[in-house]
Amino acid sequence: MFDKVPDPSNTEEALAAVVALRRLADRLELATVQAAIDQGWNWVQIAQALGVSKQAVHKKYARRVSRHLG
Amino acid sequence: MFSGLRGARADLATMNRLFPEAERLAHRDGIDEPGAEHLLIAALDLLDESGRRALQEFGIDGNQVHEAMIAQHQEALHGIGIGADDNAIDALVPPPQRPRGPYRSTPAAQALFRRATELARRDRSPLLSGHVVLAATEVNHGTLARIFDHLAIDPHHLKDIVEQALAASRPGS
Repeated sequence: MFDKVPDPSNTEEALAAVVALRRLADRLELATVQAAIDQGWNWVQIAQALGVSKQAVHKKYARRVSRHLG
Repeated sequence: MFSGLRGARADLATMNRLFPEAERLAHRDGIDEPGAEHLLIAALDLLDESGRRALQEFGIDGNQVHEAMIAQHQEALHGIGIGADDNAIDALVPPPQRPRGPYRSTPAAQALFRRATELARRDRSPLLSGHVVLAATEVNHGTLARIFDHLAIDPHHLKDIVEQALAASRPGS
C-alpha cells in the first residue's frame, strides 16, 4: 500500500517511482520464486500463485533459480 | 586510423566482453535484463582506464556508481512511501548464471551502447570506457541521470573531463 501517490505534476519523480517499483517487483518475484522452490513448491503451484502459465514461469526461472536436490 | 572491418571486429569483441558482464551484474541485482546503468558499470570494470580516470576526478569508482543506482531507486520508492528491505531480497536472489544464448538487454542499454560506438567512430578509436561514460552524460532523464545527480556529478562537467581523458588516450597525444 502506498503512503503517498506520486505527484503527477512532478513527472521526473513519478516516472522514477515507476522504474523503481518495476525493479522491486522483478527482484521480489525472483527472490520469492527461489524461496518457493527451496520450500518444495513445483512450477504448477508457483504459476498458479503468480497467475501465469506453467510454461511462462518455467521459461523465465528454470535456469535462473538454484535447485537444492536431495 | 581505426575504421572499417577492423573497427567493427573490435567493437564486436568489446561487445562480447561487455554484454555478458552487464548481464551478470543485472542478475546479481535480481534483474533479468541489464539496463544502461549495468552497461556503464561493466564498461568501467572491464574496459580501459579512460572512464575510470574521469570518474576518479570526482572521487567516484564503479562500486559507488552501483551503490548510487541502488540508493536512487530506494529514494524513488521512499518518495511514494515504500521502504523495501533490500537485504532480505538480496539474501534470496540466486547467484548469476553463466550467460547463454543471444545477448539480452533493455532498450536503454542498447541505446547507450549504440551512442558509445558512434562516439568511438567519431574519434576513429576502438570503443573505450570513456565513450560509454560520455554517452551516459548525454542521457538527461532516468536512472543514469539520477545516478549522476545522487553522486553530485554535473554531467556537463563530467563530459568535459571524459573528452580530455579520451583525447589523452589517443595515439600521438
